[in-house]
Amino acid sequence: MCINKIIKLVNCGPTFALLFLLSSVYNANADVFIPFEQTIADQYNMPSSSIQEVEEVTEPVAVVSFEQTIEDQYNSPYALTEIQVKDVSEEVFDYSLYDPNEEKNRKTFEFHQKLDKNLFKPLARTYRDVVPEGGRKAIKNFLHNLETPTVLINDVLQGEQERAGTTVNRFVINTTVGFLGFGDPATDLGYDRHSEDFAQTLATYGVESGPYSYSPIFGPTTSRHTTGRVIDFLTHPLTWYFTDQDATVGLTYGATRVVSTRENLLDALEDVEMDSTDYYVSIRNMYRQMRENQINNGLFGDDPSQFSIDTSIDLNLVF
Amino acid sequence: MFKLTKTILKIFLIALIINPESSLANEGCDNALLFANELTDSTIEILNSNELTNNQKKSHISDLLTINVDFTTMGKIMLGKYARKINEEQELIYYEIIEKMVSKTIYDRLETNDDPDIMYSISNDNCREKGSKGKEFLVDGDVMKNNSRLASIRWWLILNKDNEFKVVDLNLAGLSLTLQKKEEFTSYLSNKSIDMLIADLSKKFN
Repeated sequence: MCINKIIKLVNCGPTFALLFLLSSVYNANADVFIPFEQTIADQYNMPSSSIQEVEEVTEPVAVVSFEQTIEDQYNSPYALTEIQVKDVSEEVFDYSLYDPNEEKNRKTFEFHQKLDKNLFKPLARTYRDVVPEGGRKAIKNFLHNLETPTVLINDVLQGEQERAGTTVNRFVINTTVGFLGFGDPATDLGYDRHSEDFAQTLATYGVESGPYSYSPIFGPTTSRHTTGRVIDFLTHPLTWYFTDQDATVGLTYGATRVVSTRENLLDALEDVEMDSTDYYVSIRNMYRQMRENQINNGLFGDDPSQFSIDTSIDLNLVF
Repeated sequence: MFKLTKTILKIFLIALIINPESSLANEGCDNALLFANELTDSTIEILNSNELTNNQKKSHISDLLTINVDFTTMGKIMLGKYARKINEEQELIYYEIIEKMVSKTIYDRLETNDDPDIMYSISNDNCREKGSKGKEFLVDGDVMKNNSRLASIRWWLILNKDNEFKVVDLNLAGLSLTLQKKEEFTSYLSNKSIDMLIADLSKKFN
């Protein structure tokens, strides 16, 4: 039965599947930005496990002697501390994502930007011009409500009882009082939206993120995130529901998701692109930071060495 | 019973005496929290104002940041290992642009409140010392939209030699501005020169 459904999905719903996956591209980007009108749950949810070890530092980056202070070294007004000598051959941590295929990723990114400029962005602009703000918000709420099964499954897999309760309460309230999820009275009642996905679950189980890549389908991603997305896709009830429907149903859902998410990011992406000296790196960094934050359930990690001016290991990172 | 209480008190006092740094750290954190709260109150007052135009808000925020942000340290962190390669002449222009860039970026991240019914607030309620010298602090809080929690916020503060707190990073909803720019700049500088970076930034922010 299950295998039949998979076959049917592959045979009958490729367009839907493509749109569903394409919508993930924008969902990935959606993780990156922080417009204030979005709920915290839009932004959130990562432990420090994404920290990647990188190759040995071959060049003595700002290694200074015991006697030297930051002030001596960098003409800083802050004479913070004496800095310990650090052996440059020692392993250091780099908090940027490991991007071994940067050249290839950049090409995919460029292609994706062209596609975005000529297709998704104009569609999103038209959507903004045609549909009033209230309507767009209702559609966004409705789509969020449909994500409940994925969120709930992963809340449970992560042993997050309280968050699972919130997810259930949100679903019940928004589906009933909120007219099938078009409204979001649950947030007003104190049940803030949060996101969970299988990649976050893997991260909480200690699975490393793997190298960063820019996928034509998923946008910014890592091997862990890609695996998670595929599992999320296959475990989502809608995926199976759409296999029994006319292809247009799935198409409409996928297209709406893509356009709605892209519209939501119009201003934020424009700001980032305008202010960035390297848009590809900006997206990569923001993706990493937002994923970390999501896996941490919106809380800051407790890693005190993440950035500090006055410790030697951090000095290697910072200066 | 009385003896036991006395012993506990003694142990507590001894612990305080042999670890005076903990009380100093608390004092530092109290001041850091005070600083962060004053700064956020002023910021929120500007952002929530119905009387100010967007341009006026931008200008007020920029003035506030000029006083409270250490653009020099921020700029150095952003340059990463290339901070050592910048010369005095370049520094003059670079830090000026960093100030403009940081002000604009922070404003862009905070601004979007055109609805008078939406009130933002920030409560900073957690502080911890970073490093071992009592000069760096991380102050964490929440950004609230009306009464609902919207995002977490983290200030990375540093105490300068005049004993003034200055901001060296703002992390909003997990996005650290300084670390984001650091990755961007160091990647850029791995292929291009500091002069090119400055020229590029000038084009964008001047």
